[in-house]
Amino acid sequence: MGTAIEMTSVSKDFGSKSVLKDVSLSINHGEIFGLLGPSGAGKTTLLKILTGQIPPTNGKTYLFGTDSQKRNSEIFSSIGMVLDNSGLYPRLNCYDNLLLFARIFGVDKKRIHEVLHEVILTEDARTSVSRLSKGMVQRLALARAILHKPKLLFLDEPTSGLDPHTSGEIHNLIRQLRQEGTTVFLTTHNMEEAAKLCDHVALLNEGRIVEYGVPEEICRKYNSQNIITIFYGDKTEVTFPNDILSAEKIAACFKEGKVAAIHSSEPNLETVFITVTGRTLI
Amino acid sequence: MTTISVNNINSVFCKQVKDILKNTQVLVLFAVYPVIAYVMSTSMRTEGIFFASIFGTMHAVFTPLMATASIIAEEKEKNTLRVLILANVKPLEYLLSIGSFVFILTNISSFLFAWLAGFCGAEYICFVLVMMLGSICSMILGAALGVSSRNQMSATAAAMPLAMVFSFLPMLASFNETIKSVSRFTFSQQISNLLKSPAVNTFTAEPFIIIGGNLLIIALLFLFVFRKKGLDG
Repeated sequence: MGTAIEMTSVSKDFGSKSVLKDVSLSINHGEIFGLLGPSGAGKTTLLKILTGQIPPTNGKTYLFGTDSQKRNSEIFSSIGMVLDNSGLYPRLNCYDNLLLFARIFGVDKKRIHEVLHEVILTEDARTSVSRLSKGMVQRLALARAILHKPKLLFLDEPTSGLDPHTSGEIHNLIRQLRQEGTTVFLTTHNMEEAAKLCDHVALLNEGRIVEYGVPEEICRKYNSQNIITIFYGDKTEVTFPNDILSAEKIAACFKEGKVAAIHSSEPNLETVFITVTGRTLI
Repeated sequence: MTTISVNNINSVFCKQVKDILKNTQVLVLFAVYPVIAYVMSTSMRTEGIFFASIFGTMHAVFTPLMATASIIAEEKEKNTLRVLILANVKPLEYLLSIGSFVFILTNISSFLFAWLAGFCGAEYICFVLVMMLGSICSMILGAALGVSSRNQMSATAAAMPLAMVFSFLPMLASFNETIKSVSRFTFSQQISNLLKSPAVNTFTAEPFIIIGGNLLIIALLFLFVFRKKGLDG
């Protein structure tokens, strides 16, 4: 599969404040990776280091095997980015915003129409960015990021402040990109989003990676109760230990035909984060 | 070795042309002095050269300074500059495209001012070249202010008094000897003097030495600010 992003012992200090502490990660080609953490955890700083916007105090970061601090045109053409601020020209329309980057990347103008179609903005191609809704702006920023078909996409809080419907549209686009072979690195403090989208996640707290892995596996790891609860239609419930011995008993409950729901006791990522760090995600 | 991409310069330049057509604030800036000069010289029975040199100096000094500072600071504020840099547009390419845009837009009016003054032939060309020289000094000063500012408002707040001082100094100097003795060391005063009699045979070395000195100081100031702040900092 190969490694798209590699970082070893990355730390970043701003004056006396240490924002990142000894962060090491490896992200494979074609996966969606989520860097999770509350505001101020160091997510955006790590993203800026990876994209060569700021240097790390210590450690090394590599994109496709090349030192990301040595920004060369090959790296630039293989990455796309959606920043926390859209960075679009508000007076220009959607098409002209994309046209600028199509010219810079040497992309055919037909591709502008393609990406506008992909992000469902074809009808608004001639609308000024200043007149778009927040969700449309975010979709346009994504269109700009994928215009040159990058191999690696950085998304900084891609659905922050968006309604569930628009967030869902962005999620579908991200999944589609993964299917096309794009590696996606996203930062978010939305654990539900990460659990739904990401192949791997890392929980970042006060500049340190406190947990890393597949979301479901992380949740299972912190499943201290390890029980299964069956809810009946009459609002009564029965709990069983989550092991092979309970299988027959659970099957018997289903045979009764009164089961309304079945829940396992696995915590969600948010609960895991609180367990690990003792703090909430806000 | 740093290579400069003409394609990147051209792309940002084209974007800027489209953007300015929808940015009345900056567009007015480029039109105000040529319009005033035209109205004044056609409505008043004064020699065209009087208004052309006064408003020509103001235009060459005030407009590029304000426009450059405003454009760069706005791009910084709206994060568009960072996106450009992350798309492999080098800071020098960006500055060259914005600089050439402001330079061209400012100096289109130079031809109008020279025409209003009634110059022709060598004088006409000298007049335009002197205005170009003034706009270059002013543009670099504006770039330094744009780079050093966090947002458009702070850039305008810093650029406005400076632009006013430099552009009005030549006019104020004509009323006050003390101001005159100080203003003779500024590029705007020398530009104003040269615009009044733009004939090659009357040119002396002194104004060009002073303008060159001013240009050097402004360029060093820009380099200092650029190294300290960077373009996307």
